[in-house]
Amino acid sequence: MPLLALPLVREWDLRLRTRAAALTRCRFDALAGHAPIRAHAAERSVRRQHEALLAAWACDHRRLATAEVAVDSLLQLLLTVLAVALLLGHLARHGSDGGVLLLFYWTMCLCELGPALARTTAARYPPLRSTFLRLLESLAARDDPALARAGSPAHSPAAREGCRPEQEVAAAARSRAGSGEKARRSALPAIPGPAGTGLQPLAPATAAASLRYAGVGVHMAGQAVLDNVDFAVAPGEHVAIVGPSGAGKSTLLGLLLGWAAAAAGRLLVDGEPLSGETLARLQLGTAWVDPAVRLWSGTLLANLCYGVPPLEQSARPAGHAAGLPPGAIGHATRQAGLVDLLAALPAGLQSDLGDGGCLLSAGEGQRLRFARAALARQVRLAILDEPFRGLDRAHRRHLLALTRRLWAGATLLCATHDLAETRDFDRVVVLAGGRLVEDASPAVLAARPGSLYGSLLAAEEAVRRRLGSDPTWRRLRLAAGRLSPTCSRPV
Amino acid sequence: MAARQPVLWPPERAAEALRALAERAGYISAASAACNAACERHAEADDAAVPLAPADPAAVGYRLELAAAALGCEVEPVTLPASEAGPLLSKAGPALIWLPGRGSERWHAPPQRHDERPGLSGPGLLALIGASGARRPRRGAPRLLALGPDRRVRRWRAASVEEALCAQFSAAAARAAGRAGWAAAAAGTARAILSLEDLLTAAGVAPRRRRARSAALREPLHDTEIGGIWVLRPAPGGSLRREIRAARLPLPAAAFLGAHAARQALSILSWWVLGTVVLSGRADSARLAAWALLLATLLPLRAAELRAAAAFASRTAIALERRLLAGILCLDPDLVRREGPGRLLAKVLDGEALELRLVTGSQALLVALAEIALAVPLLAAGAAGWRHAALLMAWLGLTALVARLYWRRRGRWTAARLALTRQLIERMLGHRTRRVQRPPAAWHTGEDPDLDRYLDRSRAMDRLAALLRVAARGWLLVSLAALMLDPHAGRATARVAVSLGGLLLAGRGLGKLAAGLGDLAEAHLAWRSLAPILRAARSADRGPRAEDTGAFDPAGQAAETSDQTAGQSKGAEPWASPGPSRSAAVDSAGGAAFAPAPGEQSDPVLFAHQLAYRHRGRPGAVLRGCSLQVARGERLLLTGDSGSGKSTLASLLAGLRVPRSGVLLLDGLDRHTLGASAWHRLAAAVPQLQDNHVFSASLAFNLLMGRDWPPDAAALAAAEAVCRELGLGPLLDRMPAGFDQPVGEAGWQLSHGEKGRLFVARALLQAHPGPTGPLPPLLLILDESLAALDPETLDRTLDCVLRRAPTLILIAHP
Repeated sequence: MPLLALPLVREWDLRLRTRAAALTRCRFDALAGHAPIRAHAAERSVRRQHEALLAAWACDHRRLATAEVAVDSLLQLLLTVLAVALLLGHLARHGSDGGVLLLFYWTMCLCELGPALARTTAARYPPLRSTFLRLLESLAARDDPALARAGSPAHSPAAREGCRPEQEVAAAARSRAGSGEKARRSALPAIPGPAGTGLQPLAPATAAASLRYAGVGVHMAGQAVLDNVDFAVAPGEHVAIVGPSGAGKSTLLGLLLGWAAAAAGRLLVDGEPLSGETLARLQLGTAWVDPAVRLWSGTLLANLCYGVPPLEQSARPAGHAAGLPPGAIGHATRQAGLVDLLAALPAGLQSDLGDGGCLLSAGEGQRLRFARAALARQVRLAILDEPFRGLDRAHRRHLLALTRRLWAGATLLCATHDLAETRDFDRVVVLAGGRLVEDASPAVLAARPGSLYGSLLAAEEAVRRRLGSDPTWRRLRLAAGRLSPTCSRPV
Repeated sequence: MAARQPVLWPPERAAEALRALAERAGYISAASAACNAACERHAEADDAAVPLAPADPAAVGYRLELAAAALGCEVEPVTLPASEAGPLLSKAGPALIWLPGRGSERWHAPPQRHDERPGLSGPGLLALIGASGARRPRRGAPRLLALGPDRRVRRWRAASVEEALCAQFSAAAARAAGRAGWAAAAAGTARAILSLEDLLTAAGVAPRRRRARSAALREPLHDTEIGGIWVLRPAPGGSLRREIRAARLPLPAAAFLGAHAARQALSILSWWVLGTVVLSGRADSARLAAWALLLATLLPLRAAELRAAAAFASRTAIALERRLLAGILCLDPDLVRREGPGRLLAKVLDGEALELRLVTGSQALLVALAEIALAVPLLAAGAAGWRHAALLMAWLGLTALVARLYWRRRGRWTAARLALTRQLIERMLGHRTRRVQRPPAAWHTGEDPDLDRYLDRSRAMDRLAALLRVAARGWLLVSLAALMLDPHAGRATARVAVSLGGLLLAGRGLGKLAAGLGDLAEAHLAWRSLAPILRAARSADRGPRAEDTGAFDPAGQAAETSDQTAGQSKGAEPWASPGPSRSAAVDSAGGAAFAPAPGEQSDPVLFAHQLAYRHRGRPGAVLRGCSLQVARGERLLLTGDSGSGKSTLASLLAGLRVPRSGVLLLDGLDRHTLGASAWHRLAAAVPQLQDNHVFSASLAFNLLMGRDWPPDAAALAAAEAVCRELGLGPLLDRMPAGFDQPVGEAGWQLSHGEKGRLFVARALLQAHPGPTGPLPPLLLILDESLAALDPETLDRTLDCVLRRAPTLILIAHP
């Protein structure tokens, strides 16, 4: 009986579950979007949306409950008839003896056990099955199989250990057992000497990467995000990538980080196609600054040294155990302009930044991301995507210059809306609608009549003039907790 | 028909009708109603100031909104499909229904037709309380209960109300066809109805054949939506007890318990009947038939029990869901920010556990207690008498002790589990960062100790869970042994049988008790972690005066206030008086208190004086004495270094945070007077990109969440216009479902630039109900909303914003 009703009930159960999931998502949205809901006084809209979902859920719940009651009643009816028949048959054959009571007890138990069994199969089995399948799915997903094969000798220990759980556990056990010094030496590539204490950059020791996009195309959700992009970047070259919003700049950079694969054409790094192995190797020498880089809940120090984690707990402060040259942390902190932040935090480097670094402002977070990237060693490729969003113009200019000095020997790609800053680059690549439309040195592009780069530059200039000197605007500056008017200065 | 008493409320008395209805429904107490009378007078004064068309439903809606805001409850305009208006009306109460009547009749005019009951021909508001007999549906339509202006309750047939509601289209549709915001009834439909009415009369369909008439009248309306209905709702939040009462939880719980107890009693009776049959040795058919009948009676009882259990479960879940959402919406924004997505998601999931465990646990507990309660007299009546019952009590105490220990261990396990969930979510969100920035060898560092701790705690908990189960089973052994070893126990077969029955029943009850206590332990732990959310709902922003002042620093406030000029402190009195409508209060307070100094700009939208703010956990204040005046129509550009407090200032001005000290007035009123939600309605702010969020809903919801939801055609048209102005037109055309396209995590992914413009559009489209239609906010604050845009798009966006924003504060880094 319950098995017969199973397909019907299962479908309704699935629908109910989908409704419940929608309710959960709604609740999560209300938490994650708390600020905009408040800011737009949208509490009522959210409540109405929620109420509609809730009504649908209640409707399905009632329907499922009715079906379950019907199935249960039918089952009970059958079992009761069975019990009566059994007992009467027994009485007819054997007359009344003590065994009747025992028989009755067990038939009544049947009445209880039958529905219990039905509940187990009909109500518990479908969710258990779907949960189990979902769990298996994520368990079956190995760490990227291409990574497991990554194995050029220079990088193999680190790459291999990361992908084989048993080895990783063994490595952890080794370091716990006290042989951490050795483990650290074997796991990390050669450390550049403690020369990076002065103002000179932590120069990369290995050769910069060369890139070649050969007719690359990327599709997402049926839309071409990149279409036949073709250009090459020589080792050590610094290239700015500009273009309107949604032109595909981030996707272009994401290819190098492995977020997407080229659907058409090929992407060559150092002459080899970028696939699992080369990607893993490339990532070890990549510095990445992007507002999407995650800040972890933890101390400021742990966030700074995230890329160079300590291998063992030692008596020395964490920064030193990480194998960083002495002074590197202080250097990076000063370079990134985090001194103000240190002063404002209650516990300095040991202050907790909150979940996702949410206690920092946008600009502070960006500077911290930059400092973290600046601590990376052996940088062959630097990828910057809107690296200094949330900072003012002077800061952006300063930090960009610093970045380019820091990674002077590495290949550097920088996607930005800051047109004025791109004029110092060796080369500018302009994307529009997923296509590469211009590719030359900024001076050439700016001088070329009718170029998109030129028009973007002009538009930026116009906006700046508009905000900088338009008399209809009143300008105020916030400094040291007070507001003061700024004179409108011509740009 | 002698009493030609009006039964509809005239539109001028809409606020009074609302108050009477809310009082009747128990949403407001009589005491608070009395103190709200002042607010109402304000509202009415305001009404007088705004010339209203008497029979305009939009105007009535606005009046109701104002009155509801003053009373601390909500009115929700709904539309009903005309084809199902009757059945839905009986479930709509308490609600106010606008009956515009036909043509030029006045609301108190005597009916022109004989077949009509007096009064149901509008224009006027019908104060619907609910339906009588809705719970026990008989054949035929239920009666609707309506409250008249004389506070008398009258009964109406649902059909006649429905007819009055549908008949409006005959005349009102032609009048209202062009009017925005009113039920869309095509003029053609109206003509069709008019002619139908005439046709029916001509065809001699007797007026008393209502059903035939109304069916015929309804036919051409089947896909028309009827508007002009406002459902009254209590304010979300409030005390838990009231919520439980509102959710009508005790009813199914009592039904469930009653059905279960009856079933148990009947099954014991059936045992007794069978026992007498067997033990007396007389198997006569009458007794056996009685026994079989008893068994058959158990079936409907069981069905009723299951139904009641399902109703209880669904009502509990709905009440809890509502409460959780209300709580979430009332949470302190800073708290939400500090918690971050990981912990928040864990809490959201916890909510589900709470729901499920609370229901199953409390059901199991109720059943268990009922069974044990039945077992006690059985045992007492059995062979070992009261000694046996006492043993059961002792055993119960022991089980409770084990359960308490189990609860403690479960708490520690839950903490470990939540920590694991949080870390897992954080790692999932930061997956890309980990892959790129962390050497692969260190990807899993630090995971083992956490897992070990979790495993240890699970083991400790499972040991006790096993013990709890054993305690239930052990009862059978112990009680049997006690029965056998008891020297004083009677040896009569019947009494031993009774003892055995009681013993088995108690054993089953104990088993369920163990399961129920386990579930309730988990529910309690989930409750504890959700407590801040559930408590927050109690301090919901209920009207202007119920504003939470906890965040204020009274000393600082006093000190700052004393710095104010004499002219401003003179204005303190008018501010304190509750003013639900800003325009009325501006007339009374703004004009007198802020007599502008010569040369100063008159009538500032925003007035800030010596604002100070310090973030929790940071040593220094981020704002120390910010003063600012923003005049109507002004454009303000705010710059400053990173971390200098621009966003903090923006959140203060937008009412998202409360300043530590200083004076902040929006349109001449302070936060205490306006209330938080009114402040947010008047000052639209776009939070920074990182704090903003794309909701997992349709694009239309993401755009129009700051308006009345669901949107009308005018709102959608406005949304489309703004989108096209912002250059989102191509995106809109690309989306297969247009405005209904789901976006957010599970839907269409938007690029940075598109998100940035969506957030701006959301603020530009924000509006609140006004007397003649939606009113835009007074002030727009953009916090680095333009940072993700390229120069050309930025220029375009700025154009659109300048064209549409009344007064603008822009934070940017030009």
